Amino acid sequence: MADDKPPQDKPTGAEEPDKPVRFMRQMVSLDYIAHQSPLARRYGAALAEKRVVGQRCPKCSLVYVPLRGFCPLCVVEMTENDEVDVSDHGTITTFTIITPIQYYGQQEREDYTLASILLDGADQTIGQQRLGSIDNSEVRPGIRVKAVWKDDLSGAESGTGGAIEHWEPSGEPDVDPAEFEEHVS
Amino acid sequence: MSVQAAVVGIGQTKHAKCRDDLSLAGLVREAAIRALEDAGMGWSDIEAVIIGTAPDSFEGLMMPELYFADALGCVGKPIMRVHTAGSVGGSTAVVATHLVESGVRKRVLTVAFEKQSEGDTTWGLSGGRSGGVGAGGYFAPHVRSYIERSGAPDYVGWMVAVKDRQNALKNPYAHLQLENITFESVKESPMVWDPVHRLESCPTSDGAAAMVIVDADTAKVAPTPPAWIHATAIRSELGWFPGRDAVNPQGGQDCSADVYKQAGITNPREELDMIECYVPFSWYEPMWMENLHITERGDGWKLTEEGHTAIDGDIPVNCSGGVLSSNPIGASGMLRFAEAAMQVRGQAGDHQVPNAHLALGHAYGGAAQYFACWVVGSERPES
Repeated sequence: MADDKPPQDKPTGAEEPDKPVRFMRQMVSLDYIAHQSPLARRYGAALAEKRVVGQRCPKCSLVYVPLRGFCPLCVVEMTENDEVDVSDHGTITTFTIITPIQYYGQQEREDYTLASILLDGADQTIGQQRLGSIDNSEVRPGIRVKAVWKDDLSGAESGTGGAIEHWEPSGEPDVDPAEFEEHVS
Repeated sequence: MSVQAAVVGIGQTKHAKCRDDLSLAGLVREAAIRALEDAGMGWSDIEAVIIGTAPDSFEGLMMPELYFADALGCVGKPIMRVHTAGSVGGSTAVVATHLVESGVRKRVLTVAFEKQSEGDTTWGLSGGRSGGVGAGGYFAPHVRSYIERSGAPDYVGWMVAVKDRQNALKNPYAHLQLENITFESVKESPMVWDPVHRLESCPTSDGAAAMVIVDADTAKVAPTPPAWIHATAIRSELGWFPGRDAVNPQGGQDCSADVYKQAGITNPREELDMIECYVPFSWYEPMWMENLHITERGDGWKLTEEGHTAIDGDIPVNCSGGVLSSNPIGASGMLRFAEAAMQVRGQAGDHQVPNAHLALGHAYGGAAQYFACWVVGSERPES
């Protein structure tokens, strides 16, 4: 962190040296120990084996990713018995290109794309997924992508971001947006 | 029918990037005192206080309500906090209304607030971690989906950004006063969360809003005309389930349909004189026009493009300047509700819509999953 310079965090009044400082920021460092739910642990354990796991509702058969533990549409529990593997290939349904605001602690410097991805075999998108190996300007809804798994999967318990480096175009033909209109979020 | 309720006092702070002249308690007090003055009341007239603010992590202050009893004159009286994320200002006003409508209280003060300068909302939204992309990063993909599926031209978002800032110039309480804003300056402003430009996004603000809500007998003798509360509605939905339409959420459709039904409104486009709705990013104006049943799905952007939502249009939207001009998050929903009430009371000053008799206030929050609406009117509704 020593190399990070606080970018825009001048105390109020710094531009007006004749006025007293009335407002100051104090930066702190916080370390967390995150206790995962049993669902998140099982999801992370599968990611550590390069598998994406979901749950199929025993009533409506819709497949949820990540693990949710219940289907809110049918109001029924989903258990370990309902778990199914889904593909690590999918379709981009929508996306945003982020220009990272340079707040203190920001690690990003360049623009990057976050996408919602409908994985093959899933009925629900996973959101805020990092894309790679494609220019931001080339991204469009309907592109087919595949996971690029990290070499070191020790961080997989934190979720897809800890296991998947990014998603890259798989080379398959685009999907017509009409096919995923019901899955924008 | 329950007891009828009305707004007889409205107050708000001057919203600004940093109100370092006031503590948080001072900020809520500034709005509350103005609301009481407007109502011709003192602290002792109030029976209960209902407050609302966004999640504690936004300000980094745990349960601020615990020390507001003194500042809000309610030592020994009931005080309760409402929690519904960004829609909270609206939900808080609804809860205060219910307290009167149920006959439990006759005179309730309701206050909503946020002091963004003393916290870090992006940090709070990221669960107390660095690396978050903020609300804009979450909502931008939904905005893109709206543009893709409606075929709206990109300049519609710029038009909303200009319109609301020009309205804000008529509102002395508004935070942003961008006298030189133009279509081009919005278009040329940095792209932060593509397709959302910086000037298509709300600011971060300090501010508070307050209202005095009373029963009909008290309203009849109020010193200034009341805004009668014709209907209130709240809906919520999960932020995730297969087939969820985040662009046009079912919860929002149901919330507005319910509030119209209760108010006896069958054609909201024709019957409402103005709408004050929660638009933190410019594209949410056309998105909510569809969600609020003002137009058919896919047509919301045409209302903006053809000028219908301008202050002199046939369905003016966000005459105060809206969330795009002032965003003290917890207060932002209540400011929408308060502006609707100010309009039907004829007290909106330079941003007054002539002869406004019936208005809609709207707020949303979370992952576009919490909704609150009210319809207020200058005439007392038939019971």
